[in-house]
Amino acid sequence: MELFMIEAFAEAKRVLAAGEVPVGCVFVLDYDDKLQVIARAGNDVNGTKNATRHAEFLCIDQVMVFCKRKNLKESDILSKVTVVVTVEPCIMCSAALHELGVKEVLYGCANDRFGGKTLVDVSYVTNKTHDKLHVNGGIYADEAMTLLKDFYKGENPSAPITKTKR
Amino acid sequence: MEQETTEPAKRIKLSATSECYANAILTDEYMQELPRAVVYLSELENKRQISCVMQELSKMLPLEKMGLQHLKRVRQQDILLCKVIDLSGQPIREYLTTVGLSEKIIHILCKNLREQEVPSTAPLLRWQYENAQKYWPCKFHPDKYIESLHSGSIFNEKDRTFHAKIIEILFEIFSKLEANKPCGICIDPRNNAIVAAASSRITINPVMHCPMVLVDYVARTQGGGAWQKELTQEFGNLDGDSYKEMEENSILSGIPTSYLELLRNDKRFTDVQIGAEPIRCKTTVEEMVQNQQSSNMDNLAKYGPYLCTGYDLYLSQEPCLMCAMALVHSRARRVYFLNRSSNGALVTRLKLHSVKELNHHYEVFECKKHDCSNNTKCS
Ligand SMILES: [Zn+2]
Ligand SMILES: [Zn+2]
Repeated sequence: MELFMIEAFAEAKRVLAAGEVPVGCVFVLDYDDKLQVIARAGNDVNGTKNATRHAEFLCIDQVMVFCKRKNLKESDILSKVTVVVTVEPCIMCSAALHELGVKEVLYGCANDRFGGKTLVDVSYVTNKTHDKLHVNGGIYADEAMTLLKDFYKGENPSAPITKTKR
Repeated sequence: MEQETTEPAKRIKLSATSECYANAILTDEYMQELPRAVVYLSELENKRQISCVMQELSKMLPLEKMGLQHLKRVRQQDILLCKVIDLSGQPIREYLTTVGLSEKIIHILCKNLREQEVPSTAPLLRWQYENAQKYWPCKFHPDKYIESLHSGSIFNEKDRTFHAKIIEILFEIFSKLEANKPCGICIDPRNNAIVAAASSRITINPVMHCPMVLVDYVARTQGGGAWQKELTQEFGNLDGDSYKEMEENSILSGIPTSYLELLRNDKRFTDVQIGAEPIRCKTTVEEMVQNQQSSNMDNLAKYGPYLCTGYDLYLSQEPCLMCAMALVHSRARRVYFLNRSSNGALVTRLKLHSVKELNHHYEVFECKKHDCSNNTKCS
């Protein structure tokens, strides 16, 4: 599963060119003994002027399209999905992933600004303490951190106030 | 709040403004009694002893060092010595010697000792100050703004009338147009204009809670928006003129067609302004900054619309954690909500705005008026 992080990195680097915070994400479906990437995306905040367009949310949208096309029930699919993301999901994304009931979350480096794991007990607030979602980090953490740090050294051109930090 | 439940008649009259309350949901430090610590007090035999005792105490045992600088040292003939916990079990006489007080002063102080509870942090609001005084005299630096949030005096009659109006529109959309689904309205408080309005679309996508859709509609007014494909119906069926207007004028692109018709045709709402401030081209902003016209302007005035900066959101339901955080990312100024949600993250299960580490904090108000009570969750 860890190797899918490389694909998540590819997404992060792709959006970096568009001036986005370099975070990439893939949704890996474990179905019929087969691992399959069913969604992949990087942040898209600048282009949409919508600060909620984190990589995870773009992937969720792609899963909806995937399920519709294949006539599958979203909840059946999501419960078999591992979310692989280069940076720890923020509180918003973590809450959404808890709510949707994905199988697990693997992330690269921690997110000390908005981290869903670091700052808030998301499973308590979303009332999902029984079937606790496993959120684990530290996979290729250094690479993920370097990518973020390089970004924050430069300016985010479309954010006039403060940088759209994740 | 309690008053209102005993006077249900007030709720029915929509035009009366006094029945719309917006109570600030302040973080816990403003709502709770101050924590207390146990200290040693010494009752002096006469007031003439105070000055010489004080001289040594302020040097050897300053209140600042104990984190009690918000307290007064003396109450009548009682004088505050130190926190009991700081002695870590040492006898008091020994402790006073260790900190360097003279034999003469220790002798005076130890004649009549007792323990007393005192407030261990500074009072932030007047009610905490008044309560703290019962234990021990405190210093108090009132914060006028927070005080007005707490008392509700931040809103004048005109503000209240406006809240009532927006909530009336919200309720109309909720009950007549959206079959009691959670609804929300985004306002630019500088001209009280409706920037965008939205309702839950979880049947299309489970993350399309009302606030998520609302921020995406706000993005449309700035030439953005992510769910253009998924949410088109809401903006269809415009009559010729309105369509032309929309094409030319993206400032109305955050308001679905049926809502726009309601706002334009319902006599109760025709006085409400609609439309977002147009976004500015970069060169205008740069020129302004260069000419230093903008030195004492806030960011919204300076740069024009950016996300929900400076905007106020009115929601029928308290937002869940996902939505509450989405509004932090969007830099909303204020969130007003009508009903508490079982999954609410602004008062019910968490006060997200009390998480200090976040880089943006909005103000939160609970409005008391209509009961959209068939909703119990943010969706
Ligand atoms: Zn996120
Ligand atoms: Zn929500």
